[in-house]
Amino acid sequence: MNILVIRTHRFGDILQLTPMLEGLKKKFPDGKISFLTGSDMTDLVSCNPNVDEVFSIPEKEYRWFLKNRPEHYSKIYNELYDLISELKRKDFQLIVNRQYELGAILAWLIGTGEVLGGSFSPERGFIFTDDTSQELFETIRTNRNHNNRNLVDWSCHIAGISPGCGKMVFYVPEIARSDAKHLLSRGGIKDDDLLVAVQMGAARSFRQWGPENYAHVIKWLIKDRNKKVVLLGSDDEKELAETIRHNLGSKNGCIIDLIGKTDLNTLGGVLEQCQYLITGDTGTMHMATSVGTPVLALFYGTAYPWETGPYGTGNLVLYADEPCSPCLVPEECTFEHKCLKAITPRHVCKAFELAESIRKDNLPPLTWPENNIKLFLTHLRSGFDQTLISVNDIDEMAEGIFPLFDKPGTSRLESDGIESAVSMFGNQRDLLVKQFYLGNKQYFIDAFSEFICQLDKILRYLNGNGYGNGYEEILSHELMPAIKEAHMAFQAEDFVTVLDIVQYNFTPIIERLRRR
Amino acid sequence: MAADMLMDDSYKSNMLKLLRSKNRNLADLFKDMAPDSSLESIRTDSGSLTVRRNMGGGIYRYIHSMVDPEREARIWTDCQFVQNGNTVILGYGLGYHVLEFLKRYKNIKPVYLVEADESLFRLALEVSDLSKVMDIVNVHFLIGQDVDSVKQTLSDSLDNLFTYHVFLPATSLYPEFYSSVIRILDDSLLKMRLTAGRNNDCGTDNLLATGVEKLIDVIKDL
Repeated sequence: MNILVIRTHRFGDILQLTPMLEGLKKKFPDGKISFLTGSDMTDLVSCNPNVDEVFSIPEKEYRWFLKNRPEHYSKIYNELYDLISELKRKDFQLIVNRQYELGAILAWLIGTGEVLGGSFSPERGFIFTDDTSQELFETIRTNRNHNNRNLVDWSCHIAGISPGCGKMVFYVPEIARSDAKHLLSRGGIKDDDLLVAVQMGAARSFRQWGPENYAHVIKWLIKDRNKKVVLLGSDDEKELAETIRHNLGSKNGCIIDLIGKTDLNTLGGVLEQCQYLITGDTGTMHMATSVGTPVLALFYGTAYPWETGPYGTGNLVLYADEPCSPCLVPEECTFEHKCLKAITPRHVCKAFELAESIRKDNLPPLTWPENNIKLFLTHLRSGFDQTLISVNDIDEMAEGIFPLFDKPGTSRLESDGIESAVSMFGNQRDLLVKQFYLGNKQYFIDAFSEFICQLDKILRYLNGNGYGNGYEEILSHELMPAIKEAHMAFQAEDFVTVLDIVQYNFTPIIERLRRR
Repeated sequence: MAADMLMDDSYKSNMLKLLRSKNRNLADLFKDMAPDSSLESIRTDSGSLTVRRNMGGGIYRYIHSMVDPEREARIWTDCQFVQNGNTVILGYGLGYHVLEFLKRYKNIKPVYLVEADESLFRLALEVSDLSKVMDIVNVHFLIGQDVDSVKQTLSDSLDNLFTYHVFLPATSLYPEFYSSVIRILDDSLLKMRLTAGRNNDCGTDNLLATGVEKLIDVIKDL
């Protein structure tokens, strides 16, 4: 069975497909699973053992060029035409489209025996190709507050897989793990520090709780719970960190600002080092659950925890259950987003205390006295959809749901040493070589920059993990001069020399390093 | 190719003779052309020749691998997506990749070889065996032409679907020329794919040709 899964953007949504990928692999152990995604999302699936091949579309770049440089239309057209032709030749028997219209058109063009999720018809436009996808659409459109099924489970049902058949996973490459530790230690973090990650921003303003609220919580975490706090977020959320710093005053030194400083791999690596993540409904929330870090998630009326809540067992969800929620058109809210104000820093601190006691004692008696704000615990069992259990109901249900948790960290994936670093390097080298031979100068230049970046990380990893002992000679006498030479050739646009160095110098050196 | 390398006047004369049978004007152009002192042929590790251009200021750019140009040519050919139509190869260099390509795709329709650098082609006549390339009736050389001439030649000839293939080391020496040619080819390819798609001719897939337009509309509005 040759299967293609399509999801091109939003990294949280891509991670939410990982249980389905695991299920597909279990169902078709001899099948080959390919994943088509955005060029900036390939890291999410390229190390996933359930994915055999990754294809990508530079969707963001295309969008920019189409809007700002329309003369590039023909180039984009031909590249897409060639990509789809290549995918057609793969002869997929099944396409699982989880990208609605874009994926539907792609699935239609690639053509295959069966499409699940949705396809396209020139006469009718987007069409659902299975009852479950139609049901999901109708449920969210008309009956959202009766939906008890997480989107992760919906995807499994759409693909004909039992729910709960796999965890959300992100395979943090060893090199990114090392990078994350480096970032944290540079911020003054020591091995025995207790870290809590906080993601303040959200893609949309009506999902942002506000830096002042977070400042209260962070102050409490530092002062009363003896934690250090890691701020996470994207580049355009930098000003949030400024507000926090201003609010914290003398406790400023207990926060590490990594906003805009992590790529997807390093984000996973940083979250792995944290005890908890406090966040709204964000991609970072899904990344945390994918690396085994428990989450305290804040859900206002704009998001619905049954639908997009953190997936797995043992996460806590605070939910502002206003009469108007879940909200379908938050942009047109006539209640001044009162659901955002309903959750207060006091609720978050109290929920965090419970989260810590749950982790400490596994399942102590819990009470949540608030009526207007609900607190749920996520629970997942193999073969069943994920459930949200009200914390107040846990006592009477404990028999049925015990044991709830893995000990913190045990669900994390074992470190795979230098192999993943070499494997990533190998992938990047292959991409670089391919771009050279395809003759696209700009893609080649981009691939070279990424390749060098990867090499820098390998060197840092080798040095920082004791691999430097006994390797100095290779590193200083062979690899470093080769990197320098490649840089010089690249500056001179002597691409042939760059490629010769990559193929004939770097590869054997790295192989020797690995063998050691 | 290494074993066939001869670097004397008689060899060049033979090559010119062959070229004359194919393209008289081109043969005349190269007959008395002086060598370019900034181009230098160098023996590679595999025994074949590569060539480098001195860009001044101690900067050199190689056109083929210094280790194994034949291997490079094989990988280049492996990476090309070839359809049963006309073919344009941008960047000739010493022609290793062209030779490998033609060897691999024997029944290919007309092949247009575009090389902006006349001096480089002149050197190729001296040091490499072009006979296997020139023996093929359907191979056309577009050497040292300006963009408009290339456009004219190609637009007259590329009346069927075609693919084009870029040999980056050679094209990166003349980025403006080749980007203009690539733009022309991309525009023509788009036009042809759409026309063929709408008419459902040339064996192309109607669905794909028009569907990609729809796909682009969606990407633009995401």
